[in-house]
Amino acid sequence: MRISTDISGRRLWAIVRREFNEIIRDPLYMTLALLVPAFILVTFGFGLVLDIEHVPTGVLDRDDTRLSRTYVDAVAASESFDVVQRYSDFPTMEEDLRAGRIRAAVIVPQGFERDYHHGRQGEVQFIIDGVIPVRAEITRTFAESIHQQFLGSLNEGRWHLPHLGRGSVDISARIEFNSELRSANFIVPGLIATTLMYYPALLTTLSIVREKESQTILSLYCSPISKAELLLGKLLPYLMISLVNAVVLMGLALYVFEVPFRGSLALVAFATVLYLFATCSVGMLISVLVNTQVAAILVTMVTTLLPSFLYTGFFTPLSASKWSIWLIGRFLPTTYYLDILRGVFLKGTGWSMNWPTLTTLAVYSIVLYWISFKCFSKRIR
Amino acid sequence: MRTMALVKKEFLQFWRDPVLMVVVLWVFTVDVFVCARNFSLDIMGFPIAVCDMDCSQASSTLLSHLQSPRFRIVESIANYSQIDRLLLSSKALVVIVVDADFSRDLARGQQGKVQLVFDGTNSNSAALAMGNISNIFSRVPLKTAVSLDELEQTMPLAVRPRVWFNQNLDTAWFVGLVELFCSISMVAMLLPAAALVREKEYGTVEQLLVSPVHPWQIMAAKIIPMTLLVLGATLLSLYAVLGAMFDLYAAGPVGLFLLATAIYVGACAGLGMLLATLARNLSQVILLVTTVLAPVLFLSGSWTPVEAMPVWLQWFTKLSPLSYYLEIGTGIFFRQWGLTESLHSLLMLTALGAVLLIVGTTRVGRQLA
Repeated sequence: MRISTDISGRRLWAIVRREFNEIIRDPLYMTLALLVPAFILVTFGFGLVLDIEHVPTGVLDRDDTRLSRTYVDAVAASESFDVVQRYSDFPTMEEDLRAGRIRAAVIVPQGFERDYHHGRQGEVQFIIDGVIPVRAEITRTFAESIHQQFLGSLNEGRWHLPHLGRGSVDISARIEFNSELRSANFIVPGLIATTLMYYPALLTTLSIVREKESQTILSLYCSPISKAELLLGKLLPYLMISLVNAVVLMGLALYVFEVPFRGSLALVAFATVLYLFATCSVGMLISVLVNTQVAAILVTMVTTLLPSFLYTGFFTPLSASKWSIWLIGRFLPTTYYLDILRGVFLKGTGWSMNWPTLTTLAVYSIVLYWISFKCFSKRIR
Repeated sequence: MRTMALVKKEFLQFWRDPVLMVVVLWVFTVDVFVCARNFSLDIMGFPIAVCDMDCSQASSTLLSHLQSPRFRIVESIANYSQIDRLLLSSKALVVIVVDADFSRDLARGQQGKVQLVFDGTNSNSAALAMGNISNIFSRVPLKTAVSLDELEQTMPLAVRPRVWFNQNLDTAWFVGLVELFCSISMVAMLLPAAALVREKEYGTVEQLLVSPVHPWQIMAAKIIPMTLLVLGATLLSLYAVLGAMFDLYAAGPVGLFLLATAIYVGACAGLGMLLATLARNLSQVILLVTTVLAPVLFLSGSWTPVEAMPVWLQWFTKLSPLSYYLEIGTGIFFRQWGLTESLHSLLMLTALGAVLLIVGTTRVGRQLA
């Protein structure tokens, strides 16, 4: 059996040089290969905002008394809601809600203050646009806490509450690692991990499938180079390009998105090399399966992009997800790399805390390379 | 007639790449299903560590209200100094510290003190958990033995947040629909562009040029099969996946939605053609499509409503055909939009699509001629 150590440096270097030549002689391709990840990070990073503030809100105050105005003011004063429109009738408000011009509405019923003084329970209605459920959920939580705060302030101020004391718990919160709760701080490292999954895989796949499609791969098949030389020779150039990409992405994260960096640069660099080796191997594996470039990009998207958004704890920590998602996530290299990235960027975790994850990444890159080596054949099927 | 022959040829070509066919089917069905089923920003079993320095009945009552499926208590620590270790290792995402004087304060008629120490790394779930925990804690009856409901009734004011258009906040609906839109955009942009560039790269386009067809017929033959293909796949996805498995059916007219889809596919194909004129080989066009796809998807308001984006970016959303299509789609599916409500977006989409198609095809025509 030919083993993967069957490598001559001279022949390997020849393949690598040839691949680089090909890239350099296609300036548009080269520019795209180097620019696209940065471009994607910038558009996603700015376009994917999960912070919920200034939700455009409509107000229908049917009571229009001192108490009801205080309530509306409390809503308007919050960071979360921006009162953009006041209505005098329900149908107009409904129309604006349906058209998506306002995303939330507050309705204060008639007799709100009177009921309150008579000890009857007045009820405020909050209507929330539920089309994007994630946002609606948080918006609802905000509405509830504003209401609770308002109750608290009633008790302290002029509005005497006869029947109830204050809530019995005084809650204070301290937030570690991302004290302003900026969503960019966790989304940008997530985007780096997903981009570095998808992109190196795509470039590596294309480099082989392109040759398959134009049949030039035949000349490689019948040349004296070994399988390992061919695979490594195809892999290394894209690993290097992806490393450049990685540096650019990290730079953008630090200087454009201003994500704090609290850990060790060497640790990130080491993890990135391991990770990129794994993702390039994934691309190699895909190239075994497909024969056309159009199929290659679709397969790459389906197998790398989607899982790394869904199962790696990108949006929700895996420890706070369904067990099935947690389980799938444990099998994806992106999960581990993302852990390291967020840990090092935001928490400043060091080598001692990350070595189990690093080992897993190393195992991944070896196993994935080995599988693609086993699957790749120098024969036409 | 000649166009028909070309259309047939395109269909055949697609048919003969089984991997491609399976993947296209996959992105319209399995992908949509997987996304709709699994994407969630909500928290489940949020890991909590407890540092109860009071250890009284009151404090344990308080903590017992943090229940599954939302929360789970993974560890109890006795010492404040262990907090850092727990949060650094992500074993717990929040540590709840109950003040040593908690029950004494309560007995004296004061508020008992509780501190929440969050791992804020994932700001979204941290904010969600924080809101949930404070809502639960502020309603736990500690002094009197009344239930939550009874307490609710004694509140002087109540709030009833109601959610419209998707009352149960079923994430699957929105996510599934958005994923379908992503698949449509990707396929509608990629396939015509690739079909054209492939002919350019292999020189088979010369054969087409010397045959008695007009360049616009060649392009129509690239666009028409894709439009039919995408429309068929969309119907499949709508009824076999979103309808049958998630019970999502359009609240408005489906015909209007299909019309919008056809126009949107045309716009995407136009954009694809435009990219095809910039590229000389398939690899280039694939990277170009990826490049253009990203902003088209993310500037559409599909994940973040336009009003929540930075202002300078809001202008660019007007250039994304998906933003109009998304508005129509979510309008028809959730907000019961009819023709009158959709008209503005529909016109904008048509205008944008027409511009893209005309620019795309004239450029292709000029290159071919």
